[in-house]
Amino acid sequence: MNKEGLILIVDDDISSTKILRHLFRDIYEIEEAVNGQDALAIIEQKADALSAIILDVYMPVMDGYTVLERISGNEKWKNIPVIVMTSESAVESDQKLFDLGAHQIVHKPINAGIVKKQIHNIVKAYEKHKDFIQISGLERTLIHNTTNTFICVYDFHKKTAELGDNYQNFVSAEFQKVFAQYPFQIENYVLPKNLETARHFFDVEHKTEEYEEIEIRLRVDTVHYKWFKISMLLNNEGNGYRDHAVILFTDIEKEVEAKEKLTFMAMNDMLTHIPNMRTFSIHVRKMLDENPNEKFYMLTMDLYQFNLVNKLFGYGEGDAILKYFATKIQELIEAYDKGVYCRMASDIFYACFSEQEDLQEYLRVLRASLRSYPIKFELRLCAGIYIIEDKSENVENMIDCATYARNEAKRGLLHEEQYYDEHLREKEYFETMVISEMEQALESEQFEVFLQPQYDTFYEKMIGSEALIRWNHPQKGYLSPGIFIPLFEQNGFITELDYYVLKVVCRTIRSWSDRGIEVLPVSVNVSRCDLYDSNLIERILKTVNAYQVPHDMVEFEITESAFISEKELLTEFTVNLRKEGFRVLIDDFGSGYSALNSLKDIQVDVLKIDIKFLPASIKEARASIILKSIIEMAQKLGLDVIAEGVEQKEQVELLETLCCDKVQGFYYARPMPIADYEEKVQSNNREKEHWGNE
Amino acid sequence: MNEKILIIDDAKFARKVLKHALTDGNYTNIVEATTAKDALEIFEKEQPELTLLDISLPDSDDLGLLEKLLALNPQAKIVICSALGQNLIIENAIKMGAKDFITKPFEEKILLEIVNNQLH
Repeated sequence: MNKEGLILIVDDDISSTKILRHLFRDIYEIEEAVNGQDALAIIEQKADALSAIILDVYMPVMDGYTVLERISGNEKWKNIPVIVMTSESAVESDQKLFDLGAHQIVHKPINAGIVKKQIHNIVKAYEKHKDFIQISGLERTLIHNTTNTFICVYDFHKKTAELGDNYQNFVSAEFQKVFAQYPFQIENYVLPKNLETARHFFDVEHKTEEYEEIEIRLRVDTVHYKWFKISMLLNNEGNGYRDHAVILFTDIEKEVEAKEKLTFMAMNDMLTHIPNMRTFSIHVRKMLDENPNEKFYMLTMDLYQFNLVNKLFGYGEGDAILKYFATKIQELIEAYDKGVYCRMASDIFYACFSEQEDLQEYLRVLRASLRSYPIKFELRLCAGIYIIEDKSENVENMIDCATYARNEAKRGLLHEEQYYDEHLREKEYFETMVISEMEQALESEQFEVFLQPQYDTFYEKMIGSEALIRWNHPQKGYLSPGIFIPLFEQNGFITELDYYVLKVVCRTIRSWSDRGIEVLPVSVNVSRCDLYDSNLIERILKTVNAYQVPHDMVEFEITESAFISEKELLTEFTVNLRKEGFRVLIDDFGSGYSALNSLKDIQVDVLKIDIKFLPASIKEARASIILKSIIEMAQKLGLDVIAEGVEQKEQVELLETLCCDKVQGFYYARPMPIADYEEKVQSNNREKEHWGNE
Repeated sequence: MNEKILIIDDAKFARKVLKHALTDGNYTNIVEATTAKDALEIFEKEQPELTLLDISLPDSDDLGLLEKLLALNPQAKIVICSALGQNLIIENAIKMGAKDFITKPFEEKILLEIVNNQLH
């Protein structure tokens, strides 16, 4: 029959031993000893096989106390459960026995049934423990050498802790000493922040949970702390008495670092370390929801022409400035009760804070910080401000308003700051409408071509006209080109519009030919944007030739500033145009900075000078001299000159003295619908005929 | 660890961040100063083992404070924390006697390494 284990009975009372032997005859193998000395000899031999020792206290030669001591003191034997039998029933003697290492105490006379059960439980627990110790010895080594974990086993009876072999990889020798001697009194090794948690966790005697874990920082050397996960498994075998606890210490420093880094990256901007856009939106919404009765400022900020910094000083310096700027914003707003901020992208930052804070002071401090940054470049803050009153609005909308205001600020001369007010709101609304309706408007021919006649004052006749675009909006009436042209130049729609004008002009000239109306040249405006269309010349030729318009009847006007910004493209364009027999005009000549340079390099036929910029009367000598020189120079170069924007009689007289006889302006005729122009042409001719008849 | 550390920075947030980082490294004995004037008084009174000094302006004003602190105690360990990270500024500070320099925004680990180096 398979016995469940080997038990050593140590008792000098043979009859007592007989009873026990009889009790366990079928269950365990039995060894006997009549005194301590013999017992020790047997233990020496059979320590590995022993499941338990039943020990009587009072024996000759060597008493139970001594035997107990010897067993506890021996590394190999100390885990073998010892059940002590004693006739005494005093607490002090029991205590002493436990102190010496007894597992269990049984008082004589023994109750056979109960003792049998007790022994059974103890042996079972020990077997398990033995297995654990045997197996874990090997596994421990494996674990120690391959993972970030070291194991500690705490014995509830002996109240000692045994640290796994490789603890030195993780904690210092002192830690081991302290831990082994006074298990869990590791105040000096725990980061003060985590002390409370640690104390509670290591209060083993009062633990109720079988498994618990915490994450705290432990000191690994004189100055460094690392994150450890500590898991504790209580072995509550047999009648709920505590046998031992297994504690795992796992170095999770890397995991914690990685997790923190990940969280940080998700919430913050990588360069400046301040919150990112996503975090900003969430926090703004929260702040607004939590403060329904307060008003807030929504700001968008950037640095005027920041891209130049990168070009002039390198991206390293650019990054340094952004970090600096972000730090200043952060330090300012963190001092407020309620405020949120972020870096949206590149040099664009957002902020949202309570209206109770001093916005002007905020801007002042920020500007002062930028001014004092050591760089030979003016770092200019541009800010758009939107005052939040209606919290139900989308955060994105609020940001859009503040952004719109900021862009508006940049259009002004100072590029400083702009509030988003009613006026701006209307403007933005209008612009949005214009853009959303432009394609439809083109299709339904809401755009009309007007012609402004040009005159020769000497011969007193019309010599041609300039085609100008007008938008006849069905609800709003005629919209000023000043509003929609800049928008279309920004979004590129201007090119479609310019082709449309060309088409209408060609069609009109064709119809004049067909109807016998005198055909005079019409000049069409070309925008800078059009130059980027690689098919520009082809499309122009296609349209002009489709209507069989003679090339000297269509002229092309380009503003002088385009000659500077798109010099190469324009050179090519004008050369090709003139090759095809079209005339080229420079518009607004003299208003830019490189008038002379332009003339030197670009081939044109006509200069259009805007008189608005020049004197109203002969009396302004300097200006007159300059104007006169330009006109002379042009003529010497074989260029025609047309004076534009002539609105007053004085200007007419001035021009006469300067020998400029080609004019365009309100004084003579305003831009007018084609039908009106046609009438004018016809009446002009009738007049001429009339003269001829005189 | 009980070494006394003095933080000089006029921004509340910056002081908060520094304190948090130091506590994570178990440096819990911290004193603060918010203005140059306070800084000198507190420095003299508290005699910190280490000083973290913020330079926000590149002109001599803040390096001037460094000079004064070192005049009070030439052996003082002073580390500069600044949002200005130009080489020239760092050079000048070290030449003047600062022991090390850290640029904002900084990583906690790096600050602790620097502090540990200075104090051990």
